[in-house]
Amino acid sequence: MKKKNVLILFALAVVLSGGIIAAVLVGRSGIGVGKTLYYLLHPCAAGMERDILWQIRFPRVILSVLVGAALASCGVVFQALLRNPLAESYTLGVSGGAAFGAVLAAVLKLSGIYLPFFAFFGSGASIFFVYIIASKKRFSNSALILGGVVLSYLFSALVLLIFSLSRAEDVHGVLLWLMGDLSIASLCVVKMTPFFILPAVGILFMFTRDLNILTLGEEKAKQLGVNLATTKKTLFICASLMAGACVAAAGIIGFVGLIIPHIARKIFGADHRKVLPASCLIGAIFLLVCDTAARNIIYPLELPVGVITGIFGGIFFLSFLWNTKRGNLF
Amino acid sequence: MRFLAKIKSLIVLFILISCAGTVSAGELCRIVSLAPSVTDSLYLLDSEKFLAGVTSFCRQSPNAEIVGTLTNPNMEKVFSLQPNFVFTVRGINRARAIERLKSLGINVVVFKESQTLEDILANFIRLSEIVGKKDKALEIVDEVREKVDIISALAKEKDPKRVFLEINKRPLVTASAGSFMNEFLKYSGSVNIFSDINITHPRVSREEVLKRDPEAILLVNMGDVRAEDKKYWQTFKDLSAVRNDQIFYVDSDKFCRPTPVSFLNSLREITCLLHPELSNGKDVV
Amino acid sequence: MGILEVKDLFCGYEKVPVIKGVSFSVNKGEFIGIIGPNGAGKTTFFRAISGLLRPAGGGIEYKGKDVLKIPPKEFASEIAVIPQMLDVPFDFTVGEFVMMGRFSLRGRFESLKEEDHKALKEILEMTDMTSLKERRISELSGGERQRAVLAQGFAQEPELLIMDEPTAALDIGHKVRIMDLVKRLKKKRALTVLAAFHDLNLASVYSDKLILLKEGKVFTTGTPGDVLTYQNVEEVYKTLVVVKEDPVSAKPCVFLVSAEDEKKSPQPPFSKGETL
Repeated sequence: MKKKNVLILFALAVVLSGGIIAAVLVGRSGIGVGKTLYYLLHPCAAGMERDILWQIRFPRVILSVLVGAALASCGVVFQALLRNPLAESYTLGVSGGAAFGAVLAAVLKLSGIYLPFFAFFGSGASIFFVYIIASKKRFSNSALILGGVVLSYLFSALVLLIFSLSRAEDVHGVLLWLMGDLSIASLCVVKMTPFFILPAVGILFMFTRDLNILTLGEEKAKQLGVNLATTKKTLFICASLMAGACVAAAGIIGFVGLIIPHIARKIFGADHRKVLPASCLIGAIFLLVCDTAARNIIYPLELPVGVITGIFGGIFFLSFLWNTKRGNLF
Repeated sequence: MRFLAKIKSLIVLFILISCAGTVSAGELCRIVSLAPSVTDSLYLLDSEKFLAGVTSFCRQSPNAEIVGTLTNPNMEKVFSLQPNFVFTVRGINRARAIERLKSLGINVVVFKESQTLEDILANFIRLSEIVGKKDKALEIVDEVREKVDIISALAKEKDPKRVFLEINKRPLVTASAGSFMNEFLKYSGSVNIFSDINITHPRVSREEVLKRDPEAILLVNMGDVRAEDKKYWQTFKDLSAVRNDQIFYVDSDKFCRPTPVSFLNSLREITCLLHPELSNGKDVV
Repeated sequence: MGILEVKDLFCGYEKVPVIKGVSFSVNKGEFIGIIGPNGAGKTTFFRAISGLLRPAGGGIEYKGKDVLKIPPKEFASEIAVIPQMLDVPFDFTVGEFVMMGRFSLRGRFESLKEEDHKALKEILEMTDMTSLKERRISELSGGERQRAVLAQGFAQEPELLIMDEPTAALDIGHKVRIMDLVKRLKKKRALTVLAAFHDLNLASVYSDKLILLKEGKVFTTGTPGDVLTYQNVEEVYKTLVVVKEDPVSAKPCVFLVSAEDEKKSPQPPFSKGETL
């Protein structure tokens, strides 16, 4: 890898680390910077403020980093596999599927470990269907987008169906949560999320060359030596795992998977050996910033993080489209 | 000729009698209730026999048919039951459903959603007037008022407890000053730690909950309460509510169908939770 | 036995058979041109060779093994398939793009070696693309792009090169340059080439042997001299032509005859009673 790229990646990693520390320091519950640093260095100290930092703020910051990286990676994978700049788990109906799975689990009163699994199966089902629809039409852009839109609507309808059959009270909470929430409500989720996300991202890093070649289309990819069946399955399973874990942990957060890959590509070019790590880093930083804003802007009230990513993301993307060369969305 | 005239008059008489028959059975005969609180209130007023239709979430009655869910009553079904009154609650039933029913020419009575005890009592009395059971209603209302006052007075003797009401776990939502849940805190001598927030059901930061250090936490998670919820708060060892083991579940079902009697029972329950020393048989009337 | 053996191949799409019984063999070191009208089965044939199409009957063997049974990486390291046109929606640089050809030569956990970078340099030099290494594929002209695709194919270090009308979208200058390049590289790396052509003259000049397909079957095979007779061309392509010897290459050259000029044609139409 060229020096320039290595330097930028390193810089991003530094920014992320700094961002994590900064995010932990930023808060409006009245703990001063000095005290915060003290508690950071003394995790075993006692006291309410220590609890606030180590049990509420720090896990949340880490979750936002993990989810941001995971969502961005999902976006990278989908955009490469489907050769479509608008692909991401949100637009492909994958998040919708995961949400449906999660809502189903909630309504069936299944707790803890079931929730991410249900979300995972929901997202897997969604990816599966989009892929089938798209493959019938030789992966044309319109088929993909259409498939994704249809599935989004389908799963929204199913979620609404569940809502209408349940009492408002049962599902009201889920509705709110679907707007995106990184505050951690269950230790189970905190512990499990890295186990879903980290291995999946790790596997993706081993497939960056495959991702490059897959962008040339399935025919050419096969001719260049990619084992299509195994590779596609692996990539889809990883993406489903990540998407499912993200939805189970934090509800639906849109735009991250959509925009971050484009930003990474703009800086590093199309080679996934750089785009994937870059997207992970940029995605983590982006969501970290958005969540920090969401939990501090109207303190002690909180905004749904999906609102912030939507606004930031929307503005970003508009300016991106504005500046992009004609006919060249990638 | 005369025979024919006789037949005609017999027929007219028959019709008149049947009309009189329907009218004389009482001021009204058919009610459709689209809110569980109204259904329960009708039971309290011994008027459940008038129920022709209820929602799937209401208490079921042998005469009444199910007309749909809370959010989606079936218009045709409601119409086919030919009700004299359809009772709805603004805020529980969707505005559009209410409008639609009205446009079908049905006599729709809209109650205001109960936010306070006074609301509950006022709605109850209004309902009783319509079904002609005002006396019974006033009797119940007086009794409830009396008992609430007793509980309230007893609770006021104790130190006010700072309470956190958890309405939803993820995201964390609480019920603040203007909410219905808050009424229970008011009459049980407790203080809502988020009483300064203007929004009724705000989404709040967990950090702030810790900072405000509630002495008791009431988990009112609708329909979804599990041991996990309590365990979560118990990980914060320095929280007053945790140190004093004052984290309680409250069955939200009772709170979503407020009637004067259910209010009293819920208030009693909550007061006993928050001030266990009071539940020694004295005020349990 | 040849490096590539096609045995009684029957294949097509859905229920429509396109290739209806094709057999031939390709020997090592040969440059074979496949010609035939649209729909005769050229592209279908190439898809069958790549293992993308499962034959309804018969098979294709490479070095004695059925192509469908060769694992993808092994296939890619022996056979390179050059399409007519390749859509590259992502903005790779030429260097990154060509390097993709080395995929089959490296294991998943191996990073690229010095060898690969050397090979890249050499290939870019051979295809005259060294100065274009850092340019984005999307910025290249048609001819340059096709050269890049060719370079990517060579990066695979194949023994057999399969080209599906590789110059169909290019102007005459680029056509010649690309084909010269192929011929040069073929010599240098001792390749075997199997190429489909629309342009009969191009096929004639560059191929050692021609296979003329008609309606999914082999009409005739042989040297260009044997195959490109005006009788054969008129029979298969159903149009009036005149065939004469190319003054430079001494290979047959096919001249088309427009309807207006029919009467002036020195060679009588070989119509067999059909309307031309």
